[in-house]
Amino acid sequence: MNFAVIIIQVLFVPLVAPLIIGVTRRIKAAMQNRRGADIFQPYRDLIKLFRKAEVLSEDATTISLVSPYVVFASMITIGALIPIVPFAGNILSSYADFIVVISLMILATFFLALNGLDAGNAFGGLGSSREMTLAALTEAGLFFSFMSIALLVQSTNLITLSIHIGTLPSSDWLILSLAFLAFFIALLAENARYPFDNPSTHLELTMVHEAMIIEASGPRLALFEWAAASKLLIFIVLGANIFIPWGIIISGWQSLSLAILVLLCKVFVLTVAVAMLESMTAKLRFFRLPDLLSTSFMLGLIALALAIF
Amino acid sequence: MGSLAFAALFLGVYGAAATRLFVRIAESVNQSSIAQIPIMSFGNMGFTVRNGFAGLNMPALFLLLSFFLLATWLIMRAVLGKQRISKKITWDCGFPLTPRMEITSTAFAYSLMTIFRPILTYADSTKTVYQDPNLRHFVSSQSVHLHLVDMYMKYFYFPIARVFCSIARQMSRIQNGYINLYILYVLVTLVALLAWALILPQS
Amino acid sequence: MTEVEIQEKYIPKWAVSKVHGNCFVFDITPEQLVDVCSELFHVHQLPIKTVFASQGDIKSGEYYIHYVFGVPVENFYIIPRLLIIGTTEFPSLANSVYPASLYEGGIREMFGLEPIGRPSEAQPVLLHENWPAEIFPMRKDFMDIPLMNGHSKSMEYHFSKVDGEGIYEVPVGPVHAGIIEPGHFRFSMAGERIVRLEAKLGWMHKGSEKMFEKLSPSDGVRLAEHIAGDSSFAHSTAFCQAVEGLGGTIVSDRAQYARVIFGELERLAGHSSDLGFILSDTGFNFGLAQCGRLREQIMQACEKLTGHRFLRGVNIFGGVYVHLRKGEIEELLQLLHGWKKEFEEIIKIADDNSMVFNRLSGAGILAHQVAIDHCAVGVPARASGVIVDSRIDFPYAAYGKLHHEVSVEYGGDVLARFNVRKREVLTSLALINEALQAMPDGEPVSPREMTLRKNSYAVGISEGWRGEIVYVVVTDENGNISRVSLRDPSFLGWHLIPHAAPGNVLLDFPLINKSFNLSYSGNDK
Repeated sequence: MNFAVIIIQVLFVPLVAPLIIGVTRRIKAAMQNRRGADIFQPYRDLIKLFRKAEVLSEDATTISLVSPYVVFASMITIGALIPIVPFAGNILSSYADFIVVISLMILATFFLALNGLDAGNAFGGLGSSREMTLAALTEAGLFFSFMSIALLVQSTNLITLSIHIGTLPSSDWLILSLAFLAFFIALLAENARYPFDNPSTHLELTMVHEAMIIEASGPRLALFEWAAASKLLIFIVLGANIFIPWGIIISGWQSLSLAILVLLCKVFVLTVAVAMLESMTAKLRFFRLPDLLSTSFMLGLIALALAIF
Repeated sequence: MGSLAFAALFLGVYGAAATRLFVRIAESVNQSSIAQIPIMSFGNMGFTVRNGFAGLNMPALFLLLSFFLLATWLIMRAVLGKQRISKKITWDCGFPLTPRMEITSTAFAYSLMTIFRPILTYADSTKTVYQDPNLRHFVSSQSVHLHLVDMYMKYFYFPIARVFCSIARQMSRIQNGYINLYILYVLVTLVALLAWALILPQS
Repeated sequence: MTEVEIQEKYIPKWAVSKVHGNCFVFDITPEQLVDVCSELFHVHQLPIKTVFASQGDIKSGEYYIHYVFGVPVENFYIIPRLLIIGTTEFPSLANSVYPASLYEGGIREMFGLEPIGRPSEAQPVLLHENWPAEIFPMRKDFMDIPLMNGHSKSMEYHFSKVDGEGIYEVPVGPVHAGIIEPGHFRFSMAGERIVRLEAKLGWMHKGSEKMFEKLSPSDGVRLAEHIAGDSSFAHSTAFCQAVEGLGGTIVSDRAQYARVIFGELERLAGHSSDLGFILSDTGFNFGLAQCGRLREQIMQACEKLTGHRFLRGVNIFGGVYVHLRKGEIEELLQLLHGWKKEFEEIIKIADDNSMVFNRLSGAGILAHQVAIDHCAVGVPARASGVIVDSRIDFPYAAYGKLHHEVSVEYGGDVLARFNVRKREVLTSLALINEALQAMPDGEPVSPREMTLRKNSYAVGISEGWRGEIVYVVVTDENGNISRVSLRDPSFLGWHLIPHAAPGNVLLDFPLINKSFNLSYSGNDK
């Protein structure tokens, strides 16, 4: 049982992530009166990229060789730690601390930024600069939103959080909602979604995330894309299992599949929400984004203050 | 610089051991047990250093990360075989790249500087030189200057220095070069001392 | 005004002017050049339409430089003509009439005539710098020089450098990440802020002006349609009008109205596509998809009426080839009625979206004074408060009989250009409706042999959807076309963008570029 849970935790995020991207694109296309591609298309895209030969820039260093693996491995590690099937404790549970999760994400962002600067083209540096600016401002909101819940439950362990949040009195739901709003804005920012970035743009001057991986090709590009999809799924699973905690307090073999089903439903609902939000907003001016991020920060701070007192 | 980086790495990976060291130091100052060192307190609630603080086994986490990294690399190597990698020029949109086209460190930080401008208080100005100064249609050269205002000097040290200087200026009135006034100071001091010695009760 | 009145008012007393149709041409010497042109430009406030050179007698080394000034409303053109003989230098007008400096740069590369006193650096404006420096393509003896003969040096292009700490450059193009034409932009950046933008074009040079001299006039119409592929009809209209002026052809009323209708259809297609792309650059993909669909409907209507989506092969001297039948007119009216409703709905959704509004307003401001100094034309000029519209200033086809207002905005930013396009779409729809209903019966094209005047000039102007298109056609002593000078509005527009971009964040540049939406091919000819 323990072993099966570990296998599920490790494999869930990489396997389901491209499906989430496919669903997002399909919904955005439907909102534009288009038919859109099949929801399994990202899988085919990844397979296609893995089979291609690779072209490296002659100015690239070891960073370009190593960073795709570091980024992807960070995402797998986070995926193994987050509460997918939280009621079943396993040896990894004690490591499922939200500070660890945030730090691993920063590690991935750091290596992405290095990758953008590595080849020395004009656009990668721009993308890295923008990404670091946004990351610096986003982390505060993300951290405070988790901190406020951690104070309510008196633990920073994500597994503990997801199990005990469902038992909180309804007077704490205001804190939960504020924290969720702060978390949601951080979700959009960290995953390069609207209004922060256009994930499907072809204009290099406007890219934030794609500009950093502009020199990657073949299998390394596939790893970057897969890691980006995994990051989105990780955030959605965190949102689903921590802020919408119903459906977790069960245990046993049959309820394992039930728990996964419930999780998938919640994930689907959140994906639809993200996709619809993306279709209805435009990209904000770059120097207006700090306003939005400081909103997230203030919401997290208010939630934290309410949790303390 | 290197020692700072090493210290950051050490504290990050071996945080648990380092925290135990710090707690022991704090305990020797505070004379209470390890489990109840208060960090902050709000009335009856407070943050205390409990037993599990920084207790995560960081090296194990680092090993986990490296395990996944190696696993990814091995699986990719096994499935895809040895990859053909060709080296070509960096993407330059069809125009040869010069060293000026890479982002500079000032430019990298510029966005964050702009966002925190009220705190950082930098000033940037653009100077344009025209070939026809009266109509200003043909530009001959342009330059951008960036200067930082030193906040600490401007808002902290200089006001304090000003206060002290003004006090000192007042005091300098004593020193005005008249020998006669200096002899008067000596006389006044002597008389005051004598009076004080006489008035004071004999101990 | 009669010819005598025009001559009294604009042409100096000492000049002898000859009237060619609606052009008044008179000769001047290099010493009189600056005074004459300054008076026409500053005192009489005549806009300068184009400046072009032509070669006279090869053996004596004669060159003529023509400065075409237009008289609005009266629809006449005053053309002082400078004769240069035995030398390849001429005095530059750049210090007194600034818009002429751009054309002088083109004359230098194409003919090898050097403007003396032009302040800026001698850099190629029209040609790519790989072109050999001593070969001037527009000279008559160009075809006789074998180009591969190991000519020594090519021209050089120096990008201006901005000094300062941490300034770096971002090059974009000529290979763009999208299906657009090649062009190079060099940004000098301080962080995210653009300090200076330099646009270098010339990759799309096709030698069109020279080709006009080799082709028959009717083939010239086909060539004119391919200068800027999406403004085919406006280009061919201007060229046909110029040649019709030379041949004295009368175009029937029905053909005049048909030219209005097709010109406005082309404007609808261009503007609706532009609006969609501007919205897509703000990230509002819904607008892109819908406006693309609207454009497609117009293109399909064009194909149904004329057999070609871009309205090529429609214009000919004397009229248009297409006879619009009653049933087709009804269908078109109905289609446009439904189209207008959908257009207004989509635009309302975009206007109500405050994030789109926030993104568009305040970006890429082109100052009013800059637009006036550069003699800007077209949508960028109207969005900066300059009231120019060749359909009203130099009425052609049936525009004189139809009523419409110029859409002018005063913001000068991307939002102003967006609004100008939006209002022009509504104006075009009204014009098409009015023209379709008022169209008289008759033959659309008058089949007649055309003989052109000898040694003569004619100017044809039309308002394409980007701006004003100017064609000047010159004939030689046998009545054949010896020189065609064309000016697409993109030629002026590309030199306006470097004034609109600085100060903006680099992320906004694709939006600013899209709001101008200039043609690389129209600039490079």
